[in-house]
Amino acid sequence: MAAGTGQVHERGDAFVEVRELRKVFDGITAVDGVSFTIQRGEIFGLLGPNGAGKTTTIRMMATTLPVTSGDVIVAGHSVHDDPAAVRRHIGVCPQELALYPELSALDNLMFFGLMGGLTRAEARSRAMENLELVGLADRARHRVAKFSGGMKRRVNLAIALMSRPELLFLDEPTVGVDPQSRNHIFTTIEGLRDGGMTVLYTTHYMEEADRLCDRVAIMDAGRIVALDTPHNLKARLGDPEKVTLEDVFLHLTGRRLRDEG
Amino acid sequence: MSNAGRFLRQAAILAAKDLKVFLLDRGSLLFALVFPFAFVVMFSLMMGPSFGEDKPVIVHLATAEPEGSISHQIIQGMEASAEGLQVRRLAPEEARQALLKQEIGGYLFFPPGFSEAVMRGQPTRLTVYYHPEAVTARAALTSVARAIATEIRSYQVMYRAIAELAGPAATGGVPPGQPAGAPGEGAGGVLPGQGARPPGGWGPGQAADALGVRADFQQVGEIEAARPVDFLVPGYLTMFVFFALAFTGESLLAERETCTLERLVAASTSRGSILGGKMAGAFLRGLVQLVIFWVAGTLVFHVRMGHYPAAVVLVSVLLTVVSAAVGVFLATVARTRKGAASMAVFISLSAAALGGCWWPLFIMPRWLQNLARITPHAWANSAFNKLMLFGATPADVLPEMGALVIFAIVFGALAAGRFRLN
Ligand SMILES: Nc1ncnc2c1ncn2[C@@H]1O[C@H](COP(=O)(O)OP(=O)(O)OP(=O)(O)O)[C@@H](O)[C@H]1O
Ligand SMILES: [Mg+2]
Repeated sequence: MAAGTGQVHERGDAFVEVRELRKVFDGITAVDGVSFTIQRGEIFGLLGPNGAGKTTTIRMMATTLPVTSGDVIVAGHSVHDDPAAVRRHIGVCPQELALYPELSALDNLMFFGLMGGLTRAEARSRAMENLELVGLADRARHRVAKFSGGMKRRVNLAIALMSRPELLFLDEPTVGVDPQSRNHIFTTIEGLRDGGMTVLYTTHYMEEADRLCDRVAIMDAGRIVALDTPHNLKARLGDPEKVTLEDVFLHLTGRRLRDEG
Repeated sequence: MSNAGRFLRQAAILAAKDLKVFLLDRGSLLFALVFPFAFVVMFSLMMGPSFGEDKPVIVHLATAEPEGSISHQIIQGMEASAEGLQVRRLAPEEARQALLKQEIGGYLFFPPGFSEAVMRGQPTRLTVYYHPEAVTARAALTSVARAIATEIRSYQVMYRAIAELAGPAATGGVPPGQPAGAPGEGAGGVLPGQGARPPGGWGPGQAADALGVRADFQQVGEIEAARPVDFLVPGYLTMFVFFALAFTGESLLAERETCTLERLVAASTSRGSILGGKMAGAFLRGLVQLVIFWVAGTLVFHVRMGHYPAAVVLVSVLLTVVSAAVGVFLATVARTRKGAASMAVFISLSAAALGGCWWPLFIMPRWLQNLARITPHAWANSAFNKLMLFGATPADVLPEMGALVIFAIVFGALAAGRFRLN
């Protein structure tokens, strides 16, 4: 879609604008002055090694974590000044399986729909639609605890869609998922994008980002070290047809293990 | 929707969700509802024989008034008509000695001047002396005293009505509207030589207030539970209803750990709704426990809830509120689910032991009884024992209810102050 065009867009037409975002936890700087914009209808990839600050960035963008400094503007509203307005535009699919295993898939979706202000009838019909979308309609009344890893991930995604968000945050939606389920999730996300949804996507699978994302930002140690289309990023290292995004990633972030402190 | 409406709606949806999760989780159900009864059965079998069987009740009555007085007429009337109740008349001194030697469980005493007071429509009192082990005798005497008081009250009402009709000149009695049932302080007195030690930490109760007659209860000696289940069921109810705070703490921390809390925040759920919803959910879980406890307790274990079952239920409901508040508080102190679970186990078990869930409070040394008052368990058990074993009235357990309310407010406020969304 946007492959090959990597210019930074003017501020005015950005749907999301992240400005000099910082987060410090007890002296540890998790996010260190991050700025980028996301266009309406774009799938924006946020890549980076463990601990790079991806989840922290998403949390601040989704108003669930207060910013230390900087700001995020979503659809013209600041997460700092008017989080309630921002929340009306977003859906969040956290990195964890944020659901209730004891409840059925349908009850999980309906619960979050009801909490978001839907009536019972609306919540039920929307939940069934979403379960259809992620291929779980026939398992709607089964307990989530009995689901496979891939099915749970799809429920996790379906919940995030209950509010019909314009901006969807997907934090590693394909962890521990087999290729079949993963493919299903990709198709779903592409369908959503084609329907006009804007998506922020994080993953550790570079080929996913290459396939899905219009643009990707590569983060390391709380900073963005590169931001461009996958094609342009690969072109920096050589022939874009031969170089993989993983090569680019390793080149930019080094080979040092992150979980060794 | 208004903010308050939204708050209530979200809290209610959250609470309903928590209740559903609880009811669908076999492990919690087993722990909260089945375990307690396994304990009750086990311990009542262990304690069973020492408590003995019910014996037929004999009501002992004594009057200090001469023959022909109202009290004599009442006693005669009862001797003649009481069904299923054996009435025996004793001289006051005879009754006192019999009680001291524990030959009888208790007796109802009509003081000198009783008849005159009744005739004049003035306040007077009946005194029930009883030995605490004689639970059935006390219950019977209480009912009798109450019945007499009621009778006299209607008699006095009638007397006054007639006097009113006849005109003020016809009566030397009470002017209408005089406050009734307000006798001077102090009861007929504890039996000599027994000391007025308030067993279990409370003084003699008053009951059966009527227009002019008031019944006082004087207890003699130490208190002992009569049937194990009457002590065990409320004891384990207290322990397990409080233990349920483990679910409350865990469930709130689970929302945090699995990021459902984050989802709720992103869906514009306020801090207050989450706090309120979690507390309400815990309360609903507790109510399920209570229903099961009291229904099974009454139907299966034939628990006797005393003269005021509603007061017993109210105490258990207050305890549930305390458990909910402490549960949410726990989630603000513990960092992880496991941490919350171990804290809950530790707190619940030590408080249950100290607070009289496993053995009666009143057999513990005095200093330990005082120490026990730092647990809600002690207050709840004290109220249950008073109401269920010793025929107390709701007024007698107001201090216990008040203490439970204070526990709920303090921990609820602490939880509200400490709870953070992120
Ligand atoms: N609540 C918190 N308190 C303290 N430190 C935190 C907290 N959340 C995150 N951090 C720290 O911030 C840094 C960034 O974490 P973050 O979860 O954002 O990384 P990530 O890029 O999402 O990693 P991963 O790929 O493993 O999910 C890490 O060093 C992490 O330990
Ligand atoms: Mg992360």
